[in-house]
Amino acid sequence: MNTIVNKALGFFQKVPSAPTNPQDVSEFAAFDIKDLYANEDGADNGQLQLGLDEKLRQAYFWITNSAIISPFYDIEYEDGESKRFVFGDSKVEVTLPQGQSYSSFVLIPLLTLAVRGKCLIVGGPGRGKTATSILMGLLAGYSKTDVLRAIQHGQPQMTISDLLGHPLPADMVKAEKTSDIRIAWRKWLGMRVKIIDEYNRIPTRTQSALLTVLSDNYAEIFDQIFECPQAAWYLTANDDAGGGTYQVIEALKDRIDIVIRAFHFNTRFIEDLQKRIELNYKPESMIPEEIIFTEEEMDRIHEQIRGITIAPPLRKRLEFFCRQFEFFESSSDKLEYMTKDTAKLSGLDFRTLFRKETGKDQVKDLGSQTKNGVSVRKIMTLLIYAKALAYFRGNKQVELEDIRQILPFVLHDSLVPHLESPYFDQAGNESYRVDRIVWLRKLFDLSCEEYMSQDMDTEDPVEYFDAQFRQGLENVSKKEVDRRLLEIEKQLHKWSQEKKLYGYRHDDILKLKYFHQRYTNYRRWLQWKK
Amino acid sequence: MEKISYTPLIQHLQDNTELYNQVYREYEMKYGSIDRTVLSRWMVQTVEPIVRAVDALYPDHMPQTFRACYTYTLQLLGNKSGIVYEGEYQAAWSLCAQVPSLVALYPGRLLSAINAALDSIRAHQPERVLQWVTALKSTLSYVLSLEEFLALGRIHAWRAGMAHLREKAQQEFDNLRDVLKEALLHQYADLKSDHAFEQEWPGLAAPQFIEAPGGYVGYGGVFMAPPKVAQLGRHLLATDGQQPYAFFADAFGSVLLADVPVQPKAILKRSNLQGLEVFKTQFGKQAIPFDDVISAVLLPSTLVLTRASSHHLFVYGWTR
Repeated sequence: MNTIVNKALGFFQKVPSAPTNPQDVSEFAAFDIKDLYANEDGADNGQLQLGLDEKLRQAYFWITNSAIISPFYDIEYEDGESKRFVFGDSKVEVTLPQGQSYSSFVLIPLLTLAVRGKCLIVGGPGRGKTATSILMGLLAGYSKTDVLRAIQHGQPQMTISDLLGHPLPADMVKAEKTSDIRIAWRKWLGMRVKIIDEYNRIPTRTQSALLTVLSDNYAEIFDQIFECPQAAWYLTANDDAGGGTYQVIEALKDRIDIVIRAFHFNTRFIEDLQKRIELNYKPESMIPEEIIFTEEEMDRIHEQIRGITIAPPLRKRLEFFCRQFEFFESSSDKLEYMTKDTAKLSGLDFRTLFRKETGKDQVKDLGSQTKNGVSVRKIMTLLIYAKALAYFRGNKQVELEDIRQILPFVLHDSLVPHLESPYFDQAGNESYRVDRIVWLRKLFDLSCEEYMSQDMDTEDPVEYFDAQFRQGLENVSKKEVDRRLLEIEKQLHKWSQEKKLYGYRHDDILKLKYFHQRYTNYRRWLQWKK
Repeated sequence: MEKISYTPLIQHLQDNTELYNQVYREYEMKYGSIDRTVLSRWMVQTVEPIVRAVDALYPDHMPQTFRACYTYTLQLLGNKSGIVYEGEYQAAWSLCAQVPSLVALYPGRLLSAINAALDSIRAHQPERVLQWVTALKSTLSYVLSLEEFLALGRIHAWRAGMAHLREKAQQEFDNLRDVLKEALLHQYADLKSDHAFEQEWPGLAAPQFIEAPGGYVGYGGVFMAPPKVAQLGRHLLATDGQQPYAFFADAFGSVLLADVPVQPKAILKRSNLQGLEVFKTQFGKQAIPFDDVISAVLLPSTLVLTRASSHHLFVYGWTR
């Protein structure tokens, strides 16, 4: 009987031996000063890369096949003609993607581990939020005991000492100054995977201490500092709308890179649960050694992910998308201050100000759908996660679909929908008020359509000026500077003839103003030099 | 790809990997992708010999020398001038290996001065850049200070056609140490003459047509319309009505310096034909065969005139 059980358990530990997503292998392009002197080390790096992205995929497939029952493929990659079916009165479309698709609930925590991000997992009780986080700790090479002990369980009585550590009692008595007091730091602070369970149940004051660790990577008690290593963070919450015992402070929310939702349990998989009970199978106790990452491997993966390239046409689409939202014409009469930030700081009712925006097609204007813009932090997060997704898929370059798939999870909690926007009143758009993931993906699709309709790949005047400016100002004559200034003025004049001002044009105008100012300063310097 | 093989330099790079990677990334952010094959070639063929020369005498200064070479290389490769004019830069940078003491003390200033000189000579006398490098190289072994290096650079630049440096070259020459003067006299025998610096056109008994600089912008020149010339103080200025230029010429070459702080209108206002009349009185009417001259300036041994039918300046010279 034991033999049969062992064989069955062995099946759960199986890691696919064939490449899970075969790709051409070649060396990564990131520059390293070693290239200037080291002989043929590059080949080894290439081999290592092959091993690591493949290892990441093996980890993903082991989790989905053997650890967490998550038969969902919401991150869809289509490879050719996919079959589609429509169901019900709501005409919901189900696609059977031909490309390798993934479950966000497993994939995104794994990418978070790779990029050392901060992931919030939201969902009802018993959906596997903590279990997923624990698996990530185990993949990072920690023992099950260490990971379980390191989990910080949010609860209303949690103090800063509970979270960070406490001063040694003997030092408290003997010390003449606070710097003499030694601190018994909590072990989790030094770990590369940090799990905060039910973070919305932590009292506000303790949340502030957590914020310091989360954002600045150090903890402080009695003038003593503990420098934490770079880590992947997993925070769980039963209700992301602030309905826990305590309201989550805005700054802490803002530091979270990515948000995923735990899926419901598909009852067609109850048989799997039954087997687990019968075999006493606990995935966290049986994680295969082949998919455990060492610290050096994690560093290497992070380095390689940063080396993944984003081609200019893709970056331009992302730029176009991001610059739709911050512009708010009614907030000021000076272009620089025409932002939703200005409106927010004024304390005036957003809806009242929004009604003043007249004449523009509010359905077409993507900016009308949000109450805020995209922050720098979120753009950086979006870039690194898009790179991580491309890396995970074995690519050296980010594809548009990578950005499209990851974007909703990154902006889930930060791009706040303006639910009174006429866009949401359009037939078929009502569901976007409820489901942010689908709304954000649709928003990106609309932005890309607008980008294409404006033929921005070939007709982008700002790109022309940018390319000119990037060549540098060294040895540029005054005559040439005058010519460039004139060109900028002509372009601004051309845009000024357009009747309506949209978000994407706002940043374009400001960028040309920036170029104009730089050239003007340079011209002044040239004259002074003479 | 060629690889650096000098062990102390490799050791230095290994110890400062993150710093140099960061510097590279900064330049890549500024200029876009930098060709690594060319960077590698530069490091091996140009930078490594300089570092070797410095390290042999001043090992403590090797790190700062390499750092300066590395950043200036990235700058040149980033703005592509190091690729387009690779041969010129490599030849000029090789001068550094001859003056290791100067490179060790002022690596940034020295490289910056060399690059600026190349830019300047290339702008006015593009085919004589390597002539300047070769000339400077032959007199470099006597140089003891950065000031002497710069002085020699200016004198050789004047001889390479940078006529506007003539006065400065004379001052520099007068202040040079004897050994450097000897080295220069060995190279330029005509400097032995007492009036070598005063005489713009030696050996021309009668006025003679020298050259016609300028030209239409569409053909690679500088003027949009037929220019006019005028004298303001000691300077000869030219303009096409849009851009003002200062003009310098002598037997070694001519230079049109752009962006001078004078309004084109002021030049046009002062332009006239008086100089031409005086010249004709002195040397006869037949000396100038044009009947469409629109402006002229007569200097002690130079006549510069412009014509209604041409975008060029016409330069005549004679020995005083």
